[in-house]
Amino acid sequence: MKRILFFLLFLVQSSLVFSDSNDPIQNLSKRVIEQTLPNGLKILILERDQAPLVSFQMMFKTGGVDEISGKTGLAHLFEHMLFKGTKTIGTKDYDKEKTVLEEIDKTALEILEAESDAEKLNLEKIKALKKKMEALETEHQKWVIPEEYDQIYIRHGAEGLNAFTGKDMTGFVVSLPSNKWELYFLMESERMKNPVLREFYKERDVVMEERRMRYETAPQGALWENFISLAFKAHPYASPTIGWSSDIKNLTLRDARRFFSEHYVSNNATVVIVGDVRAKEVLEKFNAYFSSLSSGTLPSSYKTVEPPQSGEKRSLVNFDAEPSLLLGFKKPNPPHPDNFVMEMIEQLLSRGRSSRFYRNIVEKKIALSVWASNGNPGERYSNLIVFGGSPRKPFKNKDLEIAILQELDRLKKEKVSEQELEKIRNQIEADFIRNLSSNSGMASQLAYNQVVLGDWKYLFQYLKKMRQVTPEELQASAQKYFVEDSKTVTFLERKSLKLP
Amino acid sequence: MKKFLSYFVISFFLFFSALNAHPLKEPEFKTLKFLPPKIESHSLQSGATLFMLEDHELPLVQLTALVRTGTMFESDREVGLASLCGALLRAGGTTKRKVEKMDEELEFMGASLESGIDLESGSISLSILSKDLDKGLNLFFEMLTSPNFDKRKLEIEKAKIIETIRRRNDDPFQIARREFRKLLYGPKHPLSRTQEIPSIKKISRKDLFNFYQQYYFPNNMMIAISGDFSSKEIIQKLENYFSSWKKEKRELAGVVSLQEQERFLKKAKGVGFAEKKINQASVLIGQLGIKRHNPDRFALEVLNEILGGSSSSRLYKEVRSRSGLAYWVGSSFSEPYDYGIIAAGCQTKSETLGQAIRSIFKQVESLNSFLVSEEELKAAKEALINSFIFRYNSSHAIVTQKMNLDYFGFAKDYLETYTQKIEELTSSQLLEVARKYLKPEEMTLMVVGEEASFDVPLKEFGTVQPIDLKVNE
Repeated sequence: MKRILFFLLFLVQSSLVFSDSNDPIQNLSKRVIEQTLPNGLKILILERDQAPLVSFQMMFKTGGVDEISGKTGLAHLFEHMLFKGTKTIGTKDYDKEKTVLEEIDKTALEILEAESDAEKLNLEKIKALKKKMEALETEHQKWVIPEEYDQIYIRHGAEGLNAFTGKDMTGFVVSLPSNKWELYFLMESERMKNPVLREFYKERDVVMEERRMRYETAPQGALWENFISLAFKAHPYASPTIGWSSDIKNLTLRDARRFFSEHYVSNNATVVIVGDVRAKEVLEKFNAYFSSLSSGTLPSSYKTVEPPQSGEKRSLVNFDAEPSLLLGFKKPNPPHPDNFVMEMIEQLLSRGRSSRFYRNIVEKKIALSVWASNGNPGERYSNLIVFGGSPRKPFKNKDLEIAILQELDRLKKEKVSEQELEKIRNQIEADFIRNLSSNSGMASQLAYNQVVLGDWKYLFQYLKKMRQVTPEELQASAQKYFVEDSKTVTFLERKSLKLP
Repeated sequence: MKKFLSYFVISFFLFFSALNAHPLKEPEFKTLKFLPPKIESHSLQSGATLFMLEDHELPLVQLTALVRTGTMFESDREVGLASLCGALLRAGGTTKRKVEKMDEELEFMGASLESGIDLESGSISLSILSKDLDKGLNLFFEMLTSPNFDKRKLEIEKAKIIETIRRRNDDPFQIARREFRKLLYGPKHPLSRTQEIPSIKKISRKDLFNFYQQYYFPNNMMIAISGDFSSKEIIQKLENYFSSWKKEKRELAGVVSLQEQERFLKKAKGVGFAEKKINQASVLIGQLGIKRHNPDRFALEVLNEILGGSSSSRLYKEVRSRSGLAYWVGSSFSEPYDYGIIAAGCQTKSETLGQAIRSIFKQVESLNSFLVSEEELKAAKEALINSFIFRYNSSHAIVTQKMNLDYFGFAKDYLETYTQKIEELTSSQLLEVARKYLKPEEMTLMVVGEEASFDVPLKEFGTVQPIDLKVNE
């Protein structure tokens, strides 16, 4: 349940507006209270007193994209580590525990060093070091109160205690009965100020299991990882958020500490609170709990620029599963205006029973399912619009690919009707209103828009822009982006048993 | 019109921190006093029961209807009929309107109308902006009373199900869950049986009609509605719609229950194994537990919380945090109309499967051998009591919860007495209940993975029964 690594299809479905004056969306934008501490930490509060509950989200603008080569998976593993407690949570005696932790770290580095000396592998030495490590970990357990961090939250009635890491960001979420709202500040400020990265090497094993579960034994995960790493060759979007196995195996506690001090600084985070709280009270305590955090200089945000693609890319994943495919095109990220057009295309093609994909592909029995998703694998840098699906026997991946491309061709050739666009706008508006009834949903959207896209108000901007997309723009964008040169296709299929 | 007084104050115990001299100083919390909103109920003349909760925060209305039916009513020769009927009620259009037209109208309003049938009920849900409520109700009622089960749409739906069956062995954990149920209930019980291609192919439009007519009538359903509407008006509107729909006098068919399968159960112990060439094994370990309404459920809920129900549970601490053996590890218990399942499980690399299974057994054994410490008991109770308020998360959650409790025949004071029942449990009661339901020597295992890489031969855990995953086309 907990510590989800990025969502396979990271769709943050932002949405839009009506035009009348008692419109709940317009009113909402006026109700969001915003404040920034001198150390740069930002808070957004939205009061909703429908139920005595409150949802929280703390998001950092750091994710897989901020890792350096050879250290993929560090952002995600670090996210796990923030549940391991602090100097006051999860320990029977931190001073005594600390000595053992230092020994463990030293020994882990010695093991890594011994193992990396490929020329004269000293097996005896490695064995002895591993034995020592085991003894140290047993010793360390004497000082640990396992999972105490989670336990405190849970016994106070927390729901949805979780975290997630994406290519662009890392988020920590929880909801509480509203009388316990201050507990949130205590717990989050504790782990920001005094995290103890205990049981690091065990957690690294846990992440290896997570990787096996999500990517190595799950066909959709394997397909996704292969597809994304093919589509990008230079930009860090290419590597999986969970990390490559060999990188994960070599991550060290020192890497994690460095990642924390570089990226988990107050000026790189936003706290969002939605629910039954009084903003005034919250702001007072916010200051008290968080003002002592220090801000930092963020590491250079230079990222290798993905060179233009100069032809179709194709790959095949052999997997013991029925066929499925992914297909994508490169396109600009927000706030580029064409991004809104791509959002519209996503909806037009795959939203609902009257969508083009459903009517022309699923109902013609070519596929079991087929979908579109704009903005992968992140939105801080130029990205992909992705189409995916599973063909229905006797149809094959190739047939489904052709069927999808035909729909894209139609967008290039024919203008979309006003009626069809209006339907999409209405759906987006209705979704937005539905989302307002969820504290945690609102918290997610505000946090994502603030941290990844730079301003929570972008959420409302989005709705306005979606209203303005014209049939002409839609056709022009389809012609511009759905081209052979920037296409990537990956098929997942069982290995053919035929002899060559 | 009858008004429920579902009207009680949930006081949340102010638990003082039990962490003696803990270096972390927790703030003091106010007691949470919450008066759940009143739900109005009304019996329509046609016999349908209506539950209503107005909430004018947003211009939205949500409606959920429950129909007393379910896949449990199918015979084992026609598995798939009920769920197809539920899907086609919506996807097959009405006698007055083609489904394409209905889809367009709904989606143009940004609304959704869905229908389905699962194990113990059929459901229909409508979510719509309040300005469009009349149009939505019209479509809802049209679908409910004059479905067409269009033949072409039936073929499309069948094709989807057949393809889904063909793909059911793609995901190892899905295999484990499905085959585990078959081991516990036998292959023909409503809680374990699976849809198969040959029987899906045989289902006809006429079969859907017959199934529909048997269960979809006004005095066999309940409706919960929340949001921006007026109760007075909605009652009038629904009375008008329903006045043309006939009440029926019909006994519902009998349901297969477990007693008929006891012969099978006696040999159910052992290890089911499905081979899959992957580097991580999935394992589920468990046995049959309790039916719905069993008073031991409260003790089992606390036991589950302690064993593997959360990220501070014993399994999570031992198997995940301390040993690094799994990302997913946990336990659960279910309480359906027949005996439910009490189970634990995890996914771990092939080379540590045996170690993980032993570790899970050790935790189960310690629950039925020793008293849970007072501190651990208190933490588990607090977790359940303090999070109870999340059942009142939204107006629609509140009103559908009321309907569900009514549908499944829970005592009227079930919610009002819930926290007290949890609070009163003692560690010796927990031990007694653990001994009654958690018997490691009687547990069944289901494993999916690559046997050649396992650290321990599976026969250590019982007689191994290989499972053939072949799908019959």
